[in-house]
Amino acid sequence: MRLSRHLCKQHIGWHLKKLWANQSIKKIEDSQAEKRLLEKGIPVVRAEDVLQESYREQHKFEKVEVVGFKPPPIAFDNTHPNWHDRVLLTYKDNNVLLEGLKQAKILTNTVELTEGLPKSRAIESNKEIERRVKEIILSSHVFDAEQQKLPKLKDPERPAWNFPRVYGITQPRVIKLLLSNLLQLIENTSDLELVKNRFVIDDAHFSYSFEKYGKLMQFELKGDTLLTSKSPLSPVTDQPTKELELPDIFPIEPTITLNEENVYTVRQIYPINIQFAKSHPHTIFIPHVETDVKNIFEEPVTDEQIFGRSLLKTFTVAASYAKEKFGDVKILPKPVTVQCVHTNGHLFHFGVFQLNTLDLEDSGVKNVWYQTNRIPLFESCGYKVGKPVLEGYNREVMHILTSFYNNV
Amino acid sequence: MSALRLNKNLLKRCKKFKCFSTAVLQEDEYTATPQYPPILDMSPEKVRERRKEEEYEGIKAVKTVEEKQIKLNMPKYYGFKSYMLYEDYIPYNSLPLIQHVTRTHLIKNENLPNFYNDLDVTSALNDVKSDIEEAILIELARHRQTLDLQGDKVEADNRLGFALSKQINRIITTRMSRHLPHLKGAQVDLNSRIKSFWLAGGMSPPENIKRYRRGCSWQKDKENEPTNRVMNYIGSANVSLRTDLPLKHIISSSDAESPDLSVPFFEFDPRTVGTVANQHRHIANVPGFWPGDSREFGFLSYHKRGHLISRHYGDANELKEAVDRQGILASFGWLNAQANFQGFTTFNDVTYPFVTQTVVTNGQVWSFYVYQLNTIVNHSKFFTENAKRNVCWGTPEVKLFEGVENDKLVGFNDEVLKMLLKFYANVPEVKLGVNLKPFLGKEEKFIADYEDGDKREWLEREYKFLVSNRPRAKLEYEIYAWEKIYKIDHQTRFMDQKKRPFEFKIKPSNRRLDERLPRYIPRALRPELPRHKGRYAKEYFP
Repeated sequence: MRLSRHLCKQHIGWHLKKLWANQSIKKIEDSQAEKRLLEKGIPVVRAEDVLQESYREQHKFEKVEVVGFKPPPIAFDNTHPNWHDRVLLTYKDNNVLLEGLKQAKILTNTVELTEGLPKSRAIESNKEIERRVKEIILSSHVFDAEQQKLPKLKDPERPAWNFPRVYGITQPRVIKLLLSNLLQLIENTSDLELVKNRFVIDDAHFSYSFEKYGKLMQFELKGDTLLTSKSPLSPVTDQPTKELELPDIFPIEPTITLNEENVYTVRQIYPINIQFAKSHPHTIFIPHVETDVKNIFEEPVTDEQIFGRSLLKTFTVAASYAKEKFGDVKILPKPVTVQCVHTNGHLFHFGVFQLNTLDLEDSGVKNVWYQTNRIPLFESCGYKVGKPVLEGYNREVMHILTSFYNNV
Repeated sequence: MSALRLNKNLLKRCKKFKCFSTAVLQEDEYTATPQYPPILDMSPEKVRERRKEEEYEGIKAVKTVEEKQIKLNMPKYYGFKSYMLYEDYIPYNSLPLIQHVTRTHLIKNENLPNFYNDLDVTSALNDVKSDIEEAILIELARHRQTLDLQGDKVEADNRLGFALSKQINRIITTRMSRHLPHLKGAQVDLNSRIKSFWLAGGMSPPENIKRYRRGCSWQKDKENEPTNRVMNYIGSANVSLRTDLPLKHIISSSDAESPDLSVPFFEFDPRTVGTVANQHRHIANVPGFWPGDSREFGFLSYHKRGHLISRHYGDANELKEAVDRQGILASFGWLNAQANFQGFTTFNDVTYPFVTQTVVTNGQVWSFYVYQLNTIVNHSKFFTENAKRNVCWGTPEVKLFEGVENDKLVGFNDEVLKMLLKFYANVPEVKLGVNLKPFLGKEEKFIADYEDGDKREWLEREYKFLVSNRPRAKLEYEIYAWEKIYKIDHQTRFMDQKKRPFEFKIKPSNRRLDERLPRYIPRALRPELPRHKGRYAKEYFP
């Protein structure tokens, strides 16, 4: 085969010659600009002259404000208005503690009296409600029509492989729909007088700062859904806690994996005005979005760390409320009790926290924490060969949720 | 060797020939009077019309909801060029266009339609009033900080509206569900995704179509005939309630055909009022849930109104029209998507009316709308022939309260709350003697009802892919400006090799959905088959 025949099929040379022919004819045209300017008495200066040092000395440029010119962003260093030399240790929504629950107990001066939750009155189950709960689970996990990019899929065996990106319901949305509809169902079926005493607040911010081991700490957290009530929850126990020991995680320091920050404002925030009748915290619902909540290293988050997150979040709510209500006291005149529901849409973790003292270095009086394990709401829920399926529904979760709501 | 052994298909081919067939001697082939086939008008318009009707019947015959939606998408692999209507982007003076494309008669009144007068909500009002006042005060106090700030006012208004919609809905539902069981079973969606598609006719053609018609000798005289346009609505409701039964109709179907229900005629291109067709999209009708959910009838939806703050036309009257436009579109868009889930499409009209109630609010200012959807067919010849019209009853903007003084609400308006409570007290009921899904299969209404697992999986994947309208990996085909100038309008590059589709008179936009290779099955997964067989997975296009 003659290669040149194919190479010359499109004759570039023709275009090139044409281009040369065109460009060679071009002449620089006199625009008459200089003549016109001189006619109007405007001085004309050569561009090279403007760059001369002597010219710039003669003509000082005034600073002009340019529209749309952004000032440089504020640097997060010691020039920042909120810069402090003293380091603040913070715990935020996406953090977990290295040692999980043990470390959280040390930080919040908390002990666990017994395993499991304190006893509460049993709520009779109802077939109709159970059917409705199953519908709610399906409609939040399967039937909701959101189609957003889901997190990237990775296969540890072949990490370079790119899977097609899956579109579907994001985890925050699943949790939001599931919790709001379950709560609505419980409210619709509970005693009306009780429901009238409850109030639900979404997207509230809590902040509680304190000193421990001579270090300044602040827990800044979002209470995604907070159930409040007209009267505070009654204390769970009055058992003395002096004999009970805090866990020991030596040689690890209790403040490990807390963020160290220099740019901060120290603040105490309880989002509801304490004058309001239904301002007492009752139950906090915490979403656990797996892509957001991470270790600072790349290890997967363990169950223990999730328990620790529950405890710290519940503590923040209880402590910021106690600070707002009782002011600067150490041992509270009346313990503050807050319940917590921590879920990723599938597994539920329940906890009850009783705040006895705000003095976190006191070995005499300690705070008390009760908790369950992570309980699955179902075995599987999703499309199976094109069919929406919910398998292995677990009644226990709804029982605890209902009894939590009805606790006074 | 015989020819049959060489080619096994030969026998099949031979069967087509008449010379190989034998005469069938059947007595009942003959009738006493001769029966002729109908005489058809063979003019091009009528032929085209019959072909269209055949297509509509084809869509009607499809058994399941999802397959119907795929079938609608069949003509276009790359999607339809759609006129985009957004809930929170309202161009100036676009109410007449929206009434035209949704075929809506708007009745603006201080009160809701007479149907609501019989509903008594006095006791419910006393029950919820104090709690709602309290909730408003708390939310206002929480959001005041952000409202006062110099930040994004639209965002702040939307946030407050969302929070208050949730609170008020929660309070009313918990109190009223004790004696109204339909509220107990209602599904509450937050920020549900609503997408709706339909064809609208009656508007004059755009310039490119006119130019095309002028170029065809047999179409010259039809240059200015109206064309259909693909309308695509995208919205989201702050809070929406769905029930398993439909709401009662407000006017009967015969009243819906009354010529008194006037609809403004908008003859111009929608682009003249800022509604542009700048996207190719697959047809997607999504009322916030997937087919198969048992609560498939809309009951009530709350919508945001923060976007109205950013309107700067300084025309108070037009602002009111903008809210009406939002109310009409939100109601029509949601109902149309619901109707599609009952098996109706923009080619097969609804057989019974759909009703929904819509509220546009930021917590303080409220507009109420009641919408009855009587028809969703509004294109081609139906634009003139279809006598049915949709009706929207709307109230002007009213304030629930005037303001806050000394931590107390001032000027709380009971009448506004009453209107809202009446919406909740409207009980959906069983439509006696009406088949809710006449155009769906008896056994199989959704793809999940099919026996064949492979078919279910394929249809599910395909349907979700289409309605997601996810961006394609490859860039869309376009004729670049330089090609238009140097290759089409002026033939200056005759020496270039012809490579591009337009040089071969191919229109990639005319590619059909099934003009593609099916999924390849790797050799290792079909060990029992010969090498050249079973390469491609089976496809189930409707």
